Amino acid sequence: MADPQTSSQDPPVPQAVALTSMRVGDCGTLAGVHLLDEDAQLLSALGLAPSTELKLCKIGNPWILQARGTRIGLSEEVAQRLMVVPNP
Amino acid sequence: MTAPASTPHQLHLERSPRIALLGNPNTGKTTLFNRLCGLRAKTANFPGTTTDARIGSCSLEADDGSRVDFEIIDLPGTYRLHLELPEARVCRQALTGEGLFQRPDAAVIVVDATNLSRNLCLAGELLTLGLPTVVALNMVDLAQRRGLTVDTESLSRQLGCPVVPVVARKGQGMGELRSALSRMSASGLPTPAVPAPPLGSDGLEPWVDAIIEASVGGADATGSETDTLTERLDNAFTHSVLGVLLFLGVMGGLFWTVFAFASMPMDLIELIFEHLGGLAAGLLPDGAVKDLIIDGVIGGVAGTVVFLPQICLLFFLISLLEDTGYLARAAFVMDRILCRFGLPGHAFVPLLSSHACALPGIISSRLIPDRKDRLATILIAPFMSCSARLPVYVLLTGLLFKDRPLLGGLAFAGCYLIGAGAALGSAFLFRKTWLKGRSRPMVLELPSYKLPSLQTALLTAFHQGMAFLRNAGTVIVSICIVMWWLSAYPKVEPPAPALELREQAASLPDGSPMADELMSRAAQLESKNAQAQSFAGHLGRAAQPIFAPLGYDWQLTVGVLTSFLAREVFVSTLAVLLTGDAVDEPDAGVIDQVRAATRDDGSPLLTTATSASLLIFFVLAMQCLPTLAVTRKEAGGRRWALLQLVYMSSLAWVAAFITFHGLQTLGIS
Repeated sequence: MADPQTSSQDPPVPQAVALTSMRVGDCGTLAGVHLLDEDAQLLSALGLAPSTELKLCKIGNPWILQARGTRIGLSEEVAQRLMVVPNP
Repeated sequence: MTAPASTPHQLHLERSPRIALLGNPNTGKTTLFNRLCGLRAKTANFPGTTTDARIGSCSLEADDGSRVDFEIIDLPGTYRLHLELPEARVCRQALTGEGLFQRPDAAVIVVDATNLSRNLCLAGELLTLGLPTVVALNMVDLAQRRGLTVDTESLSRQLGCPVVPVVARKGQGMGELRSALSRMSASGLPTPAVPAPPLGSDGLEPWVDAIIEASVGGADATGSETDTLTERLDNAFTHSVLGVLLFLGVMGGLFWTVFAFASMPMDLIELIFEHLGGLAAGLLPDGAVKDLIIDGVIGGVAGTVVFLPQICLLFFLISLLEDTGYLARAAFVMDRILCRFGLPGHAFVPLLSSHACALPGIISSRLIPDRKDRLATILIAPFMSCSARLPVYVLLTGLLFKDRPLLGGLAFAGCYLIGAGAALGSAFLFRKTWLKGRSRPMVLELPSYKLPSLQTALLTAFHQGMAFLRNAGTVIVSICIVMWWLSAYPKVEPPAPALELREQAASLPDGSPMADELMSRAAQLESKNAQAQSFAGHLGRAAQPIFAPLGYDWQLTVGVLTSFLAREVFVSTLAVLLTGDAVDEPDAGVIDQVRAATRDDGSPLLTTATSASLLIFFVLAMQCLPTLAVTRKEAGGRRWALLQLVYMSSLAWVAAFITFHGLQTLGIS
């Protein structure tokens, strides 16, 4: 369903999706982290801050992604709480 | 954290300059520390924490030929300084000189050349503190292989401090790093000459990106490319089935190696101390001092040093595994299972190691980053059946299932399962009560796979062994001496029947079988009398009412109490009480003698119900003082050791009570 705020000529604005709904090899931009502040800080220190480009390398527990040169493993519980805007 | 003014900070000191070594985890910081300090290092705790602090010294030649001594402090690996995590807090306090810390005079930051984008964020935070800084750009060989080129001069200009490319694992670039440090000392290097980077998530990343753009070139400057070999290995090691199988193989190999290879040096240590005891026995006149030196001091030191091979070997192997990058993957594999009991995946290595001995198991729980997770693991580790329980299991399963080896084997395996089950159940309970709270979410960096450093593994094993001797060893030796004294004193006269037997033996020809038999029976009576009249014997009689509901008489109670020093002592105590000979391993003869032994009223000492009750008691009880000493040290307080003792002893008592009365109710006595 088209967004009523955008005209028909504009390209569709990609919606943020949970990391767990992406496929292996998909790239995107981290849009939101639904975790407690201290956990979000740890992710950010590892290189996973909002607006960071990431690539999903493996699905399933652990979810493995690559961001800013770092491979990061995440439990299913954490992966479900990361929102990503997939690259077109 | 505030950025101080960037004033020059000259290093002209009367004492040795103190240099803090900082870096992200997995950057080769410890390898670099080992290269700089070698054996001239010791492991302690950071003040007021249980976090490991390694402090070393190195002597460097300055440009004018004079020598400069440095003190190097290896700070815990941290991703960022501002994080509210224990390791970040320790780094922050150590670098700013807060609380009990002394501010260092300079810092070396180890930066992974293959991951500048994240590592430089920490460098940026460090530079804002205004300390003279040298950047050790590590793993430049790996970066080159990945097609990265780092212009170190440009990077140095951008950061405002010297940048030295090194390969710590191979020792490359260490001369240049030492020169940079000695130049810093000789000329008094000012603080970074460029403005401090802006702090905060909105400021540091763009600052780092700009530096990378100006200094780094190549196909993968941002590290976005993926290595296919890494992908394949990760898929295998973290696979839901294959990952578990590989993990079991790796851990089985580790466990087997510790068990198999530590036994030879352990036997050698025991032999050396036996010879030392024999030497002392020949040199010293009979009396209390001789007994104290041979049985108390030499016995106590032997009882401590004998743990060293297992501890050193375990840490050697863990260091090798950690260096390869595999342990981070293994943590995820086990996390799926252990998280149901409130434990992280990291807990598996300490728990598995505890099957060899709880001491190295508990010490290796340092691998666990979260404090509550670590405490839970330390508290439950002694439930795992260690090698010291084996002689007790052999004796009691031998008594319970004579001529039924299959049932004996099943009971043996059952002991291991009951121990592991009690450990997991207790972990669940602790995480719901005393250690209630949220664990860190399972988020881990998966470091690059690489060949491990043999030098780092050897030095880690050496330092951990020395730390064990220094911290826990002294306590263990003292405890051994006290327990020996309780078992050996007061000295009593031989009982009249024993004297009569000796007189009868003396009237027979020397070497006749009857004379030997009489002397052996006399020795048995003397030992039994000495044990019964010793302080430990009196304690046993006094404590007997506590153990009576479990079916134990005073002899078994003495066995249980003296085995508080170490579980295997139970077998030798029973052997002394019942046969007059001290033995370590229960052979068929000892088992038969124990089976035929009686109580004071003439009834059998060990019935089926009593043996089963004892077996369950030894599976679950905290019968090991050295473990309590290590728990106290590693958990950071006496109360944790006390909790472990009370909890395990209570659980063992209740389980043994249920076993004894349950069997009696079923008509098995």
